[in-house]
Amino acid sequence: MATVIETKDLCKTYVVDKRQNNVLKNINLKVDEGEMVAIMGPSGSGKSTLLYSISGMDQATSGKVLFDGEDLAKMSSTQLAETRLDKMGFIFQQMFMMKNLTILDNILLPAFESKKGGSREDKIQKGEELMRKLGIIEVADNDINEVSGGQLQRACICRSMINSPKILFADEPTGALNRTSSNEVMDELVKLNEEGTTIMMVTHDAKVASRCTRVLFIVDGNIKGEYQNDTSMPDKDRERKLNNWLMDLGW
Amino acid sequence: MFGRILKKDLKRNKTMNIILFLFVIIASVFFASGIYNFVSVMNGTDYMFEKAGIGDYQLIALGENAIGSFEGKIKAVPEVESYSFDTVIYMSKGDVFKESGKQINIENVGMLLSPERAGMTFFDKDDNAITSVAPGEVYVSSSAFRENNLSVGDKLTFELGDVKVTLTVAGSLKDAFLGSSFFGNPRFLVNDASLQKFLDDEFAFTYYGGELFYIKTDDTAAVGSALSDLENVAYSKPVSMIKMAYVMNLIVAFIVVILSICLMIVSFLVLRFTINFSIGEDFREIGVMKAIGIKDKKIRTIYFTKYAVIAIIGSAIGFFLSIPFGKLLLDSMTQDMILGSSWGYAWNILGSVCVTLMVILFAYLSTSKIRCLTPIDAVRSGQTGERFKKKGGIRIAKNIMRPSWYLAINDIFSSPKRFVTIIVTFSLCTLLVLMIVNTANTMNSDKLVYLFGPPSDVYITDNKKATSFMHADGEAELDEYLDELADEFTKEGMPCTARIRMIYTYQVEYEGNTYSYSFEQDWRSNVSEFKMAEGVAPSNEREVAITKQFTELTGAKIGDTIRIDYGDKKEELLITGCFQSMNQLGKVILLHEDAPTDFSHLTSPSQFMIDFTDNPDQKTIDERVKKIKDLTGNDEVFNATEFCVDCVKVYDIMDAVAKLLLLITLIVVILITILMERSFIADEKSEIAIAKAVGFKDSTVIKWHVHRFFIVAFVAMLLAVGLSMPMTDLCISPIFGMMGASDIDYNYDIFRSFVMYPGAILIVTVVTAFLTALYTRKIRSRDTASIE
Repeated sequence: MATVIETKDLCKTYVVDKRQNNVLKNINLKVDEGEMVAIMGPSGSGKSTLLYSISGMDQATSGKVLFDGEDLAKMSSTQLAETRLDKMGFIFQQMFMMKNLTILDNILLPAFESKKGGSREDKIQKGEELMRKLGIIEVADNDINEVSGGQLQRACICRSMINSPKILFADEPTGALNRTSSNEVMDELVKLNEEGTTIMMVTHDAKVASRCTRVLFIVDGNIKGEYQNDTSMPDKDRERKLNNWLMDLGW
Repeated sequence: MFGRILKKDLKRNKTMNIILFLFVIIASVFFASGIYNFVSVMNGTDYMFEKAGIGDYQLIALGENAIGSFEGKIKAVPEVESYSFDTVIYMSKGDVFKESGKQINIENVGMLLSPERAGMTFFDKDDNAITSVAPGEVYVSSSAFRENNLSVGDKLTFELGDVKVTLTVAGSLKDAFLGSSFFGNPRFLVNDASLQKFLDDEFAFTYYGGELFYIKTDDTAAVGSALSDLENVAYSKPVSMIKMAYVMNLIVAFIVVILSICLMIVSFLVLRFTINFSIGEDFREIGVMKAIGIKDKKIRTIYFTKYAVIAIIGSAIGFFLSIPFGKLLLDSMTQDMILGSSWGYAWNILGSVCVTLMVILFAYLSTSKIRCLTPIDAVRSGQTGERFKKKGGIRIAKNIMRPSWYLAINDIFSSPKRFVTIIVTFSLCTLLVLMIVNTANTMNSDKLVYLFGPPSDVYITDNKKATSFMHADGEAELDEYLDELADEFTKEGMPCTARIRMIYTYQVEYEGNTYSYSFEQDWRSNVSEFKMAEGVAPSNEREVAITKQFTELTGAKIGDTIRIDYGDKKEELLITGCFQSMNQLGKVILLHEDAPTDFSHLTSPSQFMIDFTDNPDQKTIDERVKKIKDLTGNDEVFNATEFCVDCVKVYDIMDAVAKLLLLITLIVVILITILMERSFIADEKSEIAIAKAVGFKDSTVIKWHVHRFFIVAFVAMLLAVGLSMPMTDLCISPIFGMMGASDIDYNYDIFRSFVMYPGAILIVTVVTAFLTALYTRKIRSRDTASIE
């Protein structure tokens, strides 16, 4: 499997009131194509910072982030924007969308901004297909305040998938959802992963993490442990086993 | 605790608070200066006349031994309450020179006088009364000061008879009585000792001495009637005539009023927008406070305090800035007048207080909305941007626009109110500029020429020559001179005829009422060439045409008969037509060329008019104008357009006003664009961040924001251009109407009015929006993590 993301001695430091806060300390990791990696850890451990740094949304203080072998730090802001547009997808805990656009228009917007992906008609068709696949086609023409949180998060997934990205970054995608919606969203993400999309997500939820292929546990800016889920096991067993591992690490 | 909340809010919402603060300052500057200017202009000439003390009726005495021979007659009129008078020495062109030897241009007659022997008060350029003039110095009427390019320190030589005096120019003066450029009577205010030198000279005293009376009365008609039989009177009219003479200056002043009203509307719109916008930003905070049980009244008190503090400080700063700003507008537009109010800057204070109250009122109205909302409604209406209304109906899937254009248009349709504010503001300012540009273009064209009589190819101003025929045998001499003039030009390869238009004053009677009125008669041309608005031109000496102004004064109309006293006989004349004239501000009756007029009743001759008989094109006429200037040694030779500019006189000021208005409009546009765009960026921070997170480039986000301003500014320009023609007609025609012209054929310069000026405003808007939108580069995709 080819490596999609690789970090080398990745460090991130914030300076607040002249005090240095080393959020990430020499992180070295690799994410291969087709993987579904969960990043877990206590609050303030640097999970989201790691996600934003490796996705190019934030700049590392030192070290390297290689995306498809290319150093993100050497990319211009325009190249980074193009990479995010065509090769990466993002899902956030808050379902951020353009408030003046309908659900479908929000999903199509990155597609129309991108030069790839065929004609306008193809893009519209793809947007509708994604919505159909995620079960929200009936809200295509609704405003963003006219749908439920679960529907909105699924719309965010559609938007992140519209340009067929190589990797999908998700920052607590189920954090703002109830259990049912959370399960539905995770089902969709797992399905996308099974179809070949690499996914990297931050989560607090062991149940969510148990559905990923690999779990990274981060504490104080260091990867304290790495856990490979046995996807052949039933869900409950897999979750229990992961919980045990997490407890061993002090979770 | 509320103090701490307020302090935190001022710190946390710094951008929006600063924007609101700046808008309050702008609104206060516009509103306070607007009110002051409005009142000053509306007080207009009354304030100036009262300050100068020119009374209710004015009379100018001239001619042999004029000094001292009128006072007794005026004193004897029972209706005269009081009077004062100037003792003057009349000067013509050729009597006053610059150090270089160049003559000072005196269109009609100039006057030399001293403050000690003046019956009225004169003012310097800063509106201070001139109570004395230092020996060896002279103040010159502001219009003459300007037209002759004089500067303080220049030397002027006055020469009359055997007296020759050289004086240093100390400054310009504002003359309430003859200061209007319409009169062409500059006055030279000198030290009394300098004046005495001329008064001591017998020739100057006898032939050039005169007096100007300022009479206070409640019955100007009776005074006018009692003084109507006096001889050697050049002017005898009530003060209303002087008011009319300032109409040209007042056109400019009224533009200030319209501008002030526009600026007030602009300030009202932007304030309302900003406060609604700003409180919208605070909704989430308000919701949280409601949720924890703080009463509505207390929440509103917090916001009142905040807005009151911003309003009071902003308005106070605005008040101080409004004084120079208002002065800038008035000073540049009314150089010959004293405009003001006895309340002084109290009006500015009132304007600033109004702005403060407006802010608090808007804040009250905006916060009152939250009383009806539950805490969660308030939270949900806050920064998440969620609202409870349907958005704009444009779908990206159903059109072929690029995302930046699509987002821009969709935003406009989704929040039309905020963009309508910009459109209305921009179009109002642009419309005002275009109206003035259209007026200036009209004044700088030959479109008005027919309002001064049938047009000629060339006009020659030679007042000294023209007035030299104003005596009993003048008619024959005038004929001879016109023949000579035509022959001279014909010999030079410019075949032509020459003519002149005369203005007489006769008594006219209609339905038992008698009026002293002006009559117009063309010397050597056919009255049928006059353009009639109604009826037909007089076809014989027993017919006349009147103007609307005469009908308004007397009620006479076409078909009626009026009676004219020619001096030696009285004639009944039939009114056959109604025409427009800007001669005598329309207060004139048109006589047939055969009417039995005589030069003893001549008030003023017009320019000499040359009509070429070989129908030359405009280029040839312009070449001939130059040639005639060389032949006659007279610089005041004009083609039809230049003649109109010379007659209307305010073209230069109007053109300067148009440029100043464009500058003010650009400043308003820049300020509003910067502040609105910064507000939008603050409001849309989360959307910008998310757009970047999904891969939008900085340039796409900037384009999205710039396109919005381009679209609204473009719509505003279209509206302004579309409305400029009917609005020019609606707003400017009444002003021309005051000058005697009720039906104006405007000259629209398509390039200047519809391309250049709106284009400049559009470009400035787009550039400003672009530069302000560069700030969006500071919003990063990672900011999605810190969005509340």
